[in-house]
Amino acid sequence: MTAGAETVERSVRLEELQVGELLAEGGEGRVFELPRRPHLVFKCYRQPAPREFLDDLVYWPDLLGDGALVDRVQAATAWPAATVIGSHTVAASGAGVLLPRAPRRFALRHRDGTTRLATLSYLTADPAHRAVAYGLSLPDPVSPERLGLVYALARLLEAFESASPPVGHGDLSTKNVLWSLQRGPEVFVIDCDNCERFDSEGRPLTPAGRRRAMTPNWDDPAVPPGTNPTLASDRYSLALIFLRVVGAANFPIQARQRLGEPVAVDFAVPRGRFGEALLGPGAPLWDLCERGLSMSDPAQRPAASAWVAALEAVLDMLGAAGVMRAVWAAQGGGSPSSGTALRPAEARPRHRGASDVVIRPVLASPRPAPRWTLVPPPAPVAPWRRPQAVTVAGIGRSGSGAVMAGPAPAGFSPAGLVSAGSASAGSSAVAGGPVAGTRISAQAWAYLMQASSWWAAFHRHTILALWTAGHRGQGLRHLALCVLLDVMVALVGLFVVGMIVSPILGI
Amino acid sequence: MTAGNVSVEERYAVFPFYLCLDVSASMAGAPIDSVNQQLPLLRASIGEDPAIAEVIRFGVVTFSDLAHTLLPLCDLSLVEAVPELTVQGRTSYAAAFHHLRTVIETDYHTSRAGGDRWYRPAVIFISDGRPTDDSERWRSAHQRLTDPSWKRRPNILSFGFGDADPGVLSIVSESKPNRAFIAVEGADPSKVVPELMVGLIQSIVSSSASVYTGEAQLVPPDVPSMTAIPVDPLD
Repeated sequence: MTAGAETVERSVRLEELQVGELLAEGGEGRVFELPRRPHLVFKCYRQPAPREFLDDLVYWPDLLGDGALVDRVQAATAWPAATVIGSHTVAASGAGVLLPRAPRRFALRHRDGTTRLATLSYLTADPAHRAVAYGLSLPDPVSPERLGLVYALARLLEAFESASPPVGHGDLSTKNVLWSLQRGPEVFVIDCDNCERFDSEGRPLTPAGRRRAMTPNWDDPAVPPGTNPTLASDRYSLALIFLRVVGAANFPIQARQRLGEPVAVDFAVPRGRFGEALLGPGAPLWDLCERGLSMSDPAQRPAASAWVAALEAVLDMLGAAGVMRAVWAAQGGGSPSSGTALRPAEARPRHRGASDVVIRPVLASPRPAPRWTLVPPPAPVAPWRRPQAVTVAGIGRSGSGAVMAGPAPAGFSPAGLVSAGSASAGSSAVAGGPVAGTRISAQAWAYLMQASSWWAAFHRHTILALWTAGHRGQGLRHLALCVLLDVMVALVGLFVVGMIVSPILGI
Repeated sequence: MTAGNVSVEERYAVFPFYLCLDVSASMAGAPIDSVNQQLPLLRASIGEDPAIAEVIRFGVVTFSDLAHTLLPLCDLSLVEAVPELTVQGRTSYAAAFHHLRTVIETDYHTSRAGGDRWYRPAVIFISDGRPTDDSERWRSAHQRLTDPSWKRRPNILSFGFGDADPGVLSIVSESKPNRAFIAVEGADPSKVVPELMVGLIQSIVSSSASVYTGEAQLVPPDVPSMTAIPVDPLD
């Protein structure tokens, strides 16, 4: 952001911009490239926003006071750099904002060469799956790198909360929190024009009527449907992101929470880390997580600074102070948090108030490997062999089919991302070559069954016609055809049997 | 993990989609070429986005005289390339429905064994013709596929163009509103099919987003060249 922000004025007129290609389109508006300002994009709102609101957001970082915090926000967010005033909009309205573009390092290159934004979804599942699916090498669960990413996010939220007025992002979802490990753990939060400023009582400073929706599955269940997220919602998001990113799992908890059910999470900690005082049972980190996710009293959710201090202590304990320093170097500089560092000896007793969420660290059981296999591209085969599959249903058969035999792919697990019943056959089918004979057999068998079905239907129809008054003439004609057909089938059958038997009899 | 606990093994419930595609001889030329061009795009759009791929399972079933599983139900992020389709034979709806019933039942049990929870599967049925098997046969197979006592019975969205019969498609979609669509009169199949495939991608993307709300919805594709087949109210 900094490169663009340093050179751009805080408000620009739309006609002064050279607007390039459309990059994205959403419900709020459209995002355009700016050829003359490659570090920025222009977000053009469908409905002009109040100019005062946009200006307040653009100037908000100035209120941080501390230059290090300003640097932190500028390094870790796409904070609105300027208000764009449209030529046809009323003077009190803004047509949109200029936003910093995410640096290239916040993207991932897949195995097939495609590049995608590094969203949190890559981190919220078993890294072994992401390695097979996309060819990405991602850090293990509960690794310093994953802890470092959450640490970087906590530092950003610490800056958000420390300003006067504080701001809340309100939608820290998979697509809005980008990450990178190229220079050490870094985050880059986008959609910051969705942010809201709050007064000291936690009330939004923007007049009512502005809708700020949260992304499903990343939303705060304590926020009633149709209402806007609060400052405490970011604290919920931070705890949820810790759970999912550090634990490398989905942890779908909100549906239960919305129903008012207590949630108990078994958080798998690898054997090597389980014995660590700050990650094992009773560690204060779990208390932070429980209170952060609690719905019983959102106001008591721990501040971001508490997370910063706790994660610094954990990284330090793991001997990963270098990860911490990398975060400082990449995102606004820094020094150890001024918050209370959580040392094992100083750990506070576990908070007992938030009983609606319990996080229980458990010893991670080894995951069977490999759990996933890639379905390979089909080998070229002759068109008549194309029915590569597998389960074949012939006309008139009641759903049963000949299942083509084929070896299950090596290492295929019952985890079932490729369903075993069909995948084993499908994999063998698409692999081509070695199973061609089997494929022909399956196809021949299917055609034989289909012919049998037609033969039976024709005879049934003939008998019915002979039995029905008024159709007997047609029945007799069909009977003659049946006899002719049966004689021909019998002759062919005798010939085939003769060809098989004659070598045995030495004829 | 004790009962009721959320563990690392608990994943989002998945939404299975079966593309059931008519590959009878009449689909030769532009329609099948369009499908072959668009299927890799569908694979990339769904499979390359982990947030979508995580909750969608996708399989391709083709039918003509016989029905086949061209792509077994799978996580599209794990599929390197989608097999190419070729055309042959006639249009047996019965074969398609028989096959779908068997495949869905098998896939369900396999997925459950692997720990996956399912939303009701969706079948995207696409045909350019009328069934060539007799009415009693395909209706019987269809009844078996949509049998209310069968818990895995799918929701069927049907799309027709060319010689497809709106009345038949309406039955295929169980006469439910906004489930059966027919190309507008005079629409060129070479235009309809690409639109349909693009609409299908959007439908799956939108449906995947609804999975995360906890209340999954089957979002019908928006195809400009197609119109919903009206459904008569019952007495």
